[in-house]
Amino acid sequence: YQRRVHGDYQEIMIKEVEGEWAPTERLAQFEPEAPIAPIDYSEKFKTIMDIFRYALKIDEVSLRAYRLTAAVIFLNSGNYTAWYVRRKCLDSLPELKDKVKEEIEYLDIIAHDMAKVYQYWHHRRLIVQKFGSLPPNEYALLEKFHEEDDKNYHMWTYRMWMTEQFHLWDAEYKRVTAKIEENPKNNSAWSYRYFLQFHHTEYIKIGSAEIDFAKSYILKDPNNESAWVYYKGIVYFSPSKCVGDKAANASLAEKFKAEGELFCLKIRSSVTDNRFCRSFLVDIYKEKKETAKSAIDICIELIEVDKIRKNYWLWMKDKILLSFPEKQQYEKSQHQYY
Amino acid sequence: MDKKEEVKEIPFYYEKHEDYLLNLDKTEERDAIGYYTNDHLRIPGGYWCIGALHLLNTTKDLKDKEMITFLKSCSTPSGGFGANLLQDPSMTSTHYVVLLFSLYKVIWNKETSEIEKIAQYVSHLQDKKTGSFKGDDWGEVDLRFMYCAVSSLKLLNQLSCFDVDKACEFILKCCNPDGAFGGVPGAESHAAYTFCAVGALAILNKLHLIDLDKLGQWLVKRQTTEGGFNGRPEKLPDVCYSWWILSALYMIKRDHWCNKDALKEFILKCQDEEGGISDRQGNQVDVFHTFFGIAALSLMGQYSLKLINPLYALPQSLLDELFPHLHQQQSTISIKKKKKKK
Repeated sequence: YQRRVHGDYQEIMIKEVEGEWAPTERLAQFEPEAPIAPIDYSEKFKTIMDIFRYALKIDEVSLRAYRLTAAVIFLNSGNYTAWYVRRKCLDSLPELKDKVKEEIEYLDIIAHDMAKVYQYWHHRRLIVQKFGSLPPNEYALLEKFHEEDDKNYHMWTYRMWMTEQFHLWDAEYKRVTAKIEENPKNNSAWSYRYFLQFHHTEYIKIGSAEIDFAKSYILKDPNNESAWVYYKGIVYFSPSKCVGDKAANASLAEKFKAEGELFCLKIRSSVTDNRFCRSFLVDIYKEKKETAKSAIDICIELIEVDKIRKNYWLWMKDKILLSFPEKQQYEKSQHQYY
Repeated sequence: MDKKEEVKEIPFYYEKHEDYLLNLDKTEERDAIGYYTNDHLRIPGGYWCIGALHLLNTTKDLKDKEMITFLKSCSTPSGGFGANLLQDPSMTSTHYVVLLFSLYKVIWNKETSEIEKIAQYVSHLQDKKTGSFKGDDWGEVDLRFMYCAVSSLKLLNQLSCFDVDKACEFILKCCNPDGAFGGVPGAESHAAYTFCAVGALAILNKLHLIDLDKLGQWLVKRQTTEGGFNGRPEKLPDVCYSWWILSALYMIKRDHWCNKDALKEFILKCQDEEGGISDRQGNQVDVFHTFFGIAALSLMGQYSLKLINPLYALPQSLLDELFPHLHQQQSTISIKKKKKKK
């Protein structure tokens, strides 16, 4: 319903915009005789673009130019020049200088078509920055985007920016926890959680709790790749990159690895053909000579369990063999690479 | 006839794809990706179309004069190119134009001032503090623009105009715990941004700065049991990722880690018998996915397609012919390696 109403509103708006420009205030597009990858423009689009080209040529910054950008954006949201001219008008015209809230409202109205438009998100960022605080409607709007596509990359990176800009860490932590519960396989939500948790908090304080969080989701569904990636990230990457004494972090990570081994072995024995626990075990076992044989055994299991990556596991197996040559009682690879 | 063959092999509809690409203006599928509202896609669309036709070894007329005239009309005083006439310049449009000029063999060394102008436009978009590249003067930053800048400048042999070390610093900041890359620091690892990061590092000969085994593992983990690649965990496979992921694997020389046969089957299933390739089996075809499907098959040496270079996404033979400085650098490196071994 809203879309249709919005469509009608836009039709009226475009007619009004056209009416503000004289018939001579047009500039046709240069069109070579037989263009390649040609585009068939509707009449409406042609007229507005002809007016826009004219406005660009004379470098017009005015209220009617500002209204014109809305028409161009409606017809072609990817036209970044239109967004730029719009900002130019907002910044330099006395009538528009304080209309930041109104601009945000405009962005809210057109939002439903703009989910994947880079220029929209960039523009929104700049306007909200100008506004200076979190706009009252912001969360409601993000929820709408989330409903449409909960993995929208633009939305998540915008969210990251918003959190940093307005220090929303604690509130966002609660929200992302809810989002993961809503859709445990939303990799974007897990990635965002990592961003929230591990960029400025001490590893020692949160490492264990976050691992428990990941484990709880793995137990619910052992094939949840995102939960496993999160878990591994905490054990292998975070210690050296996170806040805190690096040596203390590293020793804590060793404890996590030992616990991880037990956890993965449990999954391996209770869940059929699970590639994730095995992949993690290979990572743990291949680091030490004493466990190299176990690592190799699991690579061999993975050749069957994770068939599509057979070549990779063959390579891994051979690599471990090379690192610990005393264990080379195994015959050379009987398996063929694809 | 081999009686053991129960599964019918899907053919590669070579001529049909060629026809599809040559007749883009006549097909109905334009509405599918909203052609008329996306005139900023004209230049990228041109690259995907012409690029694919090159790989298909087409002998048909590619309307050189019209295309070059059109491209030149998109140039701006800054040296950069816009997506269309009177549009402001952007990094991506400029990069596509460099690629298209290469495909049309517009001879560079006769117009040095033009080259320098383009290089100047591209390099001025580097943020001096972070090393990142903006998409245009109004400041949007992400790794796409890094790749466009590095590729353009390397092809034009103008690498000295920007801060390479700072650029690498920024790329590394975009590296995540899983070994892959997001669009900006901290953002989710994504196949397309990973291609941009790895491509930029490969072009700059800085791949040693990252953990290639870890990256390779992430890349092959994108292969689904259907054979196609997805862009991030828990997402559906899509033909375009065949290119982003596969070319990155080739760049880091770990392409043998994935299952190429399964990937090939996946791409073939995404063909339309009437020509063109779609993102997934049964969906509407478009020029974007047609290009990437063909590019991936080319990389794998299939169907006598012209070989594409994974770093620049241009035919290898074209690079050898037009950009001898690329070849020289690579030979220099292999000589250095030999000396070290002794």
